Amino acid sequence: MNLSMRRVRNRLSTFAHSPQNWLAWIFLLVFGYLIIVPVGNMIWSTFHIQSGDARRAGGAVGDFTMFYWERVFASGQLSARLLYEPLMNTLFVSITYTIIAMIIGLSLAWLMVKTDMPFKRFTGFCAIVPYIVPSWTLALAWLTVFGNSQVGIGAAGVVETLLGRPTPNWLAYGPIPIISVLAINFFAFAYLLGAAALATVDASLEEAALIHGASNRKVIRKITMPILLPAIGSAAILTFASGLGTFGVPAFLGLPVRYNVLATSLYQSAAIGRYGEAFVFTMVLVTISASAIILNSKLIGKRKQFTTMEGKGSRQRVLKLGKWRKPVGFLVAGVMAIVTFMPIIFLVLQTFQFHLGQYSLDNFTLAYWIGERDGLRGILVDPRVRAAAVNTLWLGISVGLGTAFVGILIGYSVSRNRGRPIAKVVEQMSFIPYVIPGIAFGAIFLSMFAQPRGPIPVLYGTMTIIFIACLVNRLPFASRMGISAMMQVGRSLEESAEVHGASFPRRITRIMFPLTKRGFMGGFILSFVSTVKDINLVILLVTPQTMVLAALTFGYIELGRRQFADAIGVVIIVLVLGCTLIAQWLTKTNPLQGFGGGNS
Amino acid sequence: MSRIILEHVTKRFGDYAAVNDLSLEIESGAFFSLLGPSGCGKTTTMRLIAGLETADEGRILIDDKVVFDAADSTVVPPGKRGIGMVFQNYALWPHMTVRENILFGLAVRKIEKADQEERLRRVLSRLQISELVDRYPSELSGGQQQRIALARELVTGAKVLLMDEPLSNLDAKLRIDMRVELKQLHEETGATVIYVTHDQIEALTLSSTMAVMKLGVMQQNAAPSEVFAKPTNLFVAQFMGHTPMNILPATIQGNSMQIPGGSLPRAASSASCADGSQILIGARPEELLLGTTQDERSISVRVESILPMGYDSLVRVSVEGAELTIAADERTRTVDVGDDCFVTFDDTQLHCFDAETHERLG
Ligand SMILES: Nc1ncnc2c1ncn2[C@@H]1O[C@H](COP(=O)(O)OP(=O)(O)OP(=O)(O)O)[C@@H](O)[C@H]1O
Ligand SMILES: [Mg+2]
Repeated sequence: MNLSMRRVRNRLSTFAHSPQNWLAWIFLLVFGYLIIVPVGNMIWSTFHIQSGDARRAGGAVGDFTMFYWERVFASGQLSARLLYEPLMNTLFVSITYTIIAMIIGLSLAWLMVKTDMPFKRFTGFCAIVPYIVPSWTLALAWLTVFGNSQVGIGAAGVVETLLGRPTPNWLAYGPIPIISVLAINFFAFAYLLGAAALATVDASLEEAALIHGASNRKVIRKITMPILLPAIGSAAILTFASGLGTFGVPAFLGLPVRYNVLATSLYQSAAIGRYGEAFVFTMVLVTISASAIILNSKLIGKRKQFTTMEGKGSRQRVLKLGKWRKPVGFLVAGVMAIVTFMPIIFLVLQTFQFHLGQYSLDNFTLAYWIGERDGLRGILVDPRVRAAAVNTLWLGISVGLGTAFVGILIGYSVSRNRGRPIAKVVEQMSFIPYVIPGIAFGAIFLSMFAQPRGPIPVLYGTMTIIFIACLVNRLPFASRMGISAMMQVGRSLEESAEVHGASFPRRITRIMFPLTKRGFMGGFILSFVSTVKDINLVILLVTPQTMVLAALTFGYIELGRRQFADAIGVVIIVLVLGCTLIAQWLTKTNPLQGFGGGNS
Repeated sequence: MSRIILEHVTKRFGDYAAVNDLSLEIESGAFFSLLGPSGCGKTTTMRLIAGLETADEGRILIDDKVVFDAADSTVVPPGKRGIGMVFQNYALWPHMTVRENILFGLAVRKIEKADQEERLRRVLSRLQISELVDRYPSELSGGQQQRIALARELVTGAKVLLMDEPLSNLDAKLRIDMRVELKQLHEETGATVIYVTHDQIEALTLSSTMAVMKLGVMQQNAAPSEVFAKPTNLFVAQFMGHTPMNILPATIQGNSMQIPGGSLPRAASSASCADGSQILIGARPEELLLGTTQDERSISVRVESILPMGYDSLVRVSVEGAELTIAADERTRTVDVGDDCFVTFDDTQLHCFDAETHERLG
């Protein structure tokens, strides 16, 4: 054999013996196919006539066209209705809820970290519950409390019942409720980020300045604020980006009064088969979201890209509240308890009301759980719901396992290739889905797999496409979890097994997996949770055969049968709260930090 | 035969050559130490031999078998090189007991169960750790962990043992005990040991040969006594020894050398130098004598400071802008700070170096 052939043979054999290398290449290819190609394909689609649009667009299917862009961006009144109004609404809603969530979240963080307020454990627990439960259940709870009987299929909420007259429309539907619900949903996110940032300001930093004779005010201005400001800015941007593409809340609270945001416009276009427009909306949404994330990574610098500050156990200068200690503690704990438990309680109550909004014993019914109403069977006895539950569990478990498994392998190949360009590329590609809001993701996958692609058949209408979309959507989380788990284990533990001649499967199963199984379990459960509660991502991809629980609620709402939706919401709340607590206990950390929680 | 040969091995990280054109031959059964300042490439060299890093150039042979060759891209994976490796942090698997840790390598090699138990028993009793067998690494002291890490590699009967600063995490007393132990183990097993260390005493007491590295380049490869007695250049001279060697500029003039504060008889090793040439001379603090009487080998100095160190003290003296450190016997020391006295050189032991290249002369 001559030298060059020997060289080729030896290189191949070395490559085969370097799982970190071939894994990296596999990820590169798979990410390319499941992230880059679908996005590219969707962009391409917006410039070409989609099937069914031939007459509208004046050409043949597949011809180049600016029809969709013109329609959405430059068609006067039509554009205003299609794009500009929803766009303005989206920005208005998102910016406003971000500001409110930041004010509440940061105040709470300050009270929790920087003062000696009592009942911190209880308050802290309450604060994160609205963040764990799906945001659309909060929207349902809002209707339970503030709903009125004036709009369409609406029914009286608690307030209307108590006051004896309908609540005004602006309080029941539209921007105010949407903003309020999203603020309640997201203030815990701001709180967690804020508390972590505050915890990084160690007392010694402030004391060092005090010793130099700086006044208290100067210390705050020159030391504390400069350290905190980037973190606060970053928290605001992440809060903004997380809720930007939320579909469930504006769908439940906005659509009845025709208040549209981009997510609902996108959905409506897609629902009537106008994919060209839907894809343009998707790109607008992705552009805003990506700009926010890029701005964020500029703000917090290269090193902290895509990560939020990790709170280390630091020493804090704690403000003594003195005689205000108890009152403040009671007030904060009380407010948090109300915000946390009232919506859930009312939601549960409503599932037992035969007629919506009538709070009397003779209105009590189990029809929505185990009975029947107007031909719709209770959710525990309806085969359709059971099928959706099976789909949901199947999806949650497979996405959870997939996320944890892929995460560990990404972590392995990235941490073992540290310093090489391919590690950076794999890591950064795995973060791309972070800038794509859930509903946009659904649209992108729809455009990709609604028709056969090479050897891949039409996937629309299968669980497979939902599974893949959810998995790719969870990649940033998977990769972050996997990389940090692998970094913690360090190289030498694996290398010493390698020196003993242990094969890659053996090293993974005997060494790496046992050492990372806490992280693995935590990743599995959190991913399960966010899949189960998600509505944004799946709403465009589900079909009657592949229905999941969260998306099923949307149908009940459209029929005006809120109690069924409430009951499903309650089931999901119990499931996600339980699982999150288990994950928290397993990983011994707060798994919700950073983008652990994910949102829907 | 477990001879290890490196031929022109180079390893780059980016543009920086962590190991630069390194050629080495380590005899079978040798105890070979790699010594050098932090970041000089010791660990990298060891990882190249183990196969945990892949070199960019050169060839590596273990036991006369090519395990790496840049020319035809041969890379034998670590597990097939017949080596054992003790990591600096021991790398004990925290989720396995001592028994499981030690037996892992045997299970991989598909050794029979009965044989495994027998080997386990032998290595445990040899290292006096039998009572630890069911504990987890987190339940062991640093010294015990060290022994387990050793046992894990010894039990496989590997003929080449790589150790990266294995004693650096132990306290001073334990370190000395383990040093003795390692020496005995080496003699009993006859394995070829490659030993990376920061600590020159370790290198001097343990090794049969040693190499000193600097910025990825090997400076000297010889028996420890030779490295100490005949450092090949100024870097090695200053690196070896408790306290850095004193270096003074000297000018050759006939049969004498002009140095700050006086002149000395010309050192034997400067024979090749032309009249009037500039060189550097070196003397270890222990090779200088402090006294109150002058002779032709001494110069007049003033005592600047005294650092007592038990039996000895380090006396710093100055002469015409130059400074010297002398190790003086504390019991016979008569001079004190501020005194004028004499430093006597031993011209047979003087080290001479080229002023430009810093290479050893003679
Ligand atoms: N994986 C790596 N990527 C980039 N540079 C590296 C890598 N490993 C080592 N280096 C660099 O190579 C040089 C040699 O490192 P090495 O670990 O071999 O030093 P060392 O002699 O073992 O030092 P120490 O005594 O501190 O352990 C250093 O400059 C180091 O920064
Ligand atoms: Mg090292």
